[in-house]
Amino acid sequence: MIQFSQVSYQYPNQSDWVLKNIDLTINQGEWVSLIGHNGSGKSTLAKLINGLLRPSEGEVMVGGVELTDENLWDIRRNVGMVFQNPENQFVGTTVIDDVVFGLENMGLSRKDMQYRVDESLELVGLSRYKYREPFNLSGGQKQRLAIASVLAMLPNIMVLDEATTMLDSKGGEELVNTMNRLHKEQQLTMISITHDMKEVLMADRVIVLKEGSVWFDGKPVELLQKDLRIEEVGLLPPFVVKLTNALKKRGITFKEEPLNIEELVKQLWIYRSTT
Amino acid sequence: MDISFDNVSYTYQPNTPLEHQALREVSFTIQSGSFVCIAGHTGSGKSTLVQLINGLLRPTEGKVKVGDFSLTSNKNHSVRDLRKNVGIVFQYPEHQLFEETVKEDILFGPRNFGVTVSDEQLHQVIEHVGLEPSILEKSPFEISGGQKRRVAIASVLVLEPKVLILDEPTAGLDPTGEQQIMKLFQRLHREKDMTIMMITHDMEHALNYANHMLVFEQGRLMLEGNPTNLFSNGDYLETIGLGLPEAIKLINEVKRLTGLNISYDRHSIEDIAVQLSNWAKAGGGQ
Ligand SMILES: Nc1ncnc2c1ncn2[C@@H]1O[C@H](COP(=O)(O)OP(=O)(O)OP(=O)(O)O)[C@@H](O)[C@H]1O
Ligand SMILES: Nc1ncnc2c1ncn2[C@@H]1O[C@H](COP(=O)(O)OP(=O)(O)OP(=O)(O)O)[C@@H](O)[C@H]1O
Ligand SMILES: [Mg+2]
Ligand SMILES: [Mg+2]
Repeated sequence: MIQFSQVSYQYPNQSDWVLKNIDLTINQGEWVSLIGHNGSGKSTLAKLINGLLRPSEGEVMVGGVELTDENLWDIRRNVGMVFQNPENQFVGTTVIDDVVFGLENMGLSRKDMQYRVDESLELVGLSRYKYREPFNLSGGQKQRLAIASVLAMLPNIMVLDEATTMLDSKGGEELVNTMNRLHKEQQLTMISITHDMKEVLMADRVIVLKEGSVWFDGKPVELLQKDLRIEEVGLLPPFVVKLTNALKKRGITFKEEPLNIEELVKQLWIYRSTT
Repeated sequence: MDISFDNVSYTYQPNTPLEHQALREVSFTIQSGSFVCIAGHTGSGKSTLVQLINGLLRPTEGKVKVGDFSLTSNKNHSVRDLRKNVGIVFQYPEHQLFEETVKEDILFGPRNFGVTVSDEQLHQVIEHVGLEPSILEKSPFEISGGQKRRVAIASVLVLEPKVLILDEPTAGLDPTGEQQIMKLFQRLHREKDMTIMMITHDMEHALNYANHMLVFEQGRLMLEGNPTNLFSNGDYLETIGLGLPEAIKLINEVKRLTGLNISYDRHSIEDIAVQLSNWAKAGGGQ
């Protein structure tokens, strides 16, 4: 469980408050999408969860304990974080070294270690690139490696800061599905920062930040269905919602709000049959 | 400036155990003033390709022509004039931000090429990418990911290049920012006749903004043409998993379930809504 009580944050030597009075509880096993306009404070909030930053005011608790200098390393082991720029987390001179690095000092047998390395590289599709240099990978391969290094550590909580922005549609979907499977099988808590509304719709819960405060916290469907002014927070309605609205303007009525293309076509079919 | 590739191959770290051929015998021609989208899976050679256009990389084999400039493996002539005309926004904005302040970063290119930029122009370019003037005095390392992306775009636009190369320029932008920046590229393309080559994984961009698309697979150019045509015969694109734009998926789904043909050329939301509502209101379904 992750708890923020009255958390505010200011970067050193800066006058602006980047996060303001955040109160949040995220339960074990939840899948949360964290979204909001550029500069709204998402990455800052993520860094407070794994102790990379400490709150200027208020308290952050992970698994019931407050972060201190003593327990920092235990907490980081439980909280796997994929940074917005994957290059910031590369430590090895080869792909395989990079994954191994995170597993050292975990007391794993050689065999277990090897198994985890192979499995996580396989999951992200980098098995063929084991001996390549992380900095010489392509943009999308770098993101895949950053995810593999964190997956190998089997954390209880995964924080993904725009971890799949540079993957093609199928590649991105496959990785999100893999993560979803792990989340279900292992009660993994997932906090995923994203701008992709399709991914948001797959989550249990969505938290929207606006200028450092929580603007919305609830079910993804509600975010789209309640008549919220989502443009204010840098969001745009997805294609299906825009088309549904354009059809309503032309006098078509819907029994239920369609959330995907199949539903929309089905409902139009029903409308036509009853006209 | 026309851009052409004539049988271009590129190999990284040749004659080492890490040797990797990233492009294989690639040939194509792009007319000046085009808006081109480049698509393909992770590692298919897209970033390698665009770095060959402004001379950051030289072809291992074959010839790249950009306007009057020719680039081959052995020629050692200066690429300075070429770079002044061909601006590139890298896939990771961090790779082009290195000065103390955002302002210095944006002025770096112009200084390098002896171009003066007025305060007014500076503020204008910042506004175009959706940033506040107060960001100018900040360190480029102490701003958010999306803000870095916007600064990187501004630092290239300020030079008003004839050819604008964009390597996933909207990754990390919030949706309204993405729309604003895409509209900006469209305006530059239309009003200033800028040639735009944009790498993207977002097929909506290809459909709604580009007039030509190049699709790469493992270093080879597999497919090229007008995006609407490519998507309307989209089997290949779908099988290789690059995805289809939402409007095309909808048109296909409507055809599959109801037999109604919606025109691919009229894929705007309004156009689709007109066709669909007329059909639904006509009644007579089973
Ligand atoms: N190291 C830093 N020092 C000072 N200010 C910073 C630093 N990092 C970020 N900021 C500022 O804090 C605010 C929040 O930044 P943060 O990176 O948390 O935003 P974000 O929601 O992740 O945005 P994006 O979607 O662009 O990644 C922004 O105004 C940013 O300029
Ligand atoms: N400096 C390098 N040394 C060795 N191999 C490299 C180097 N840079 C790239 N490569 C390899 O060349 C291939 C093509 O890379 P490139 O960056 O052009 O791909 P891309 O299509 O841009 O992919 P992405 O969508 O992931 O950014 C990849 O397999 C990559 O690992
Ligand atoms: Mg961020
Ligand atoms: Mg690339």
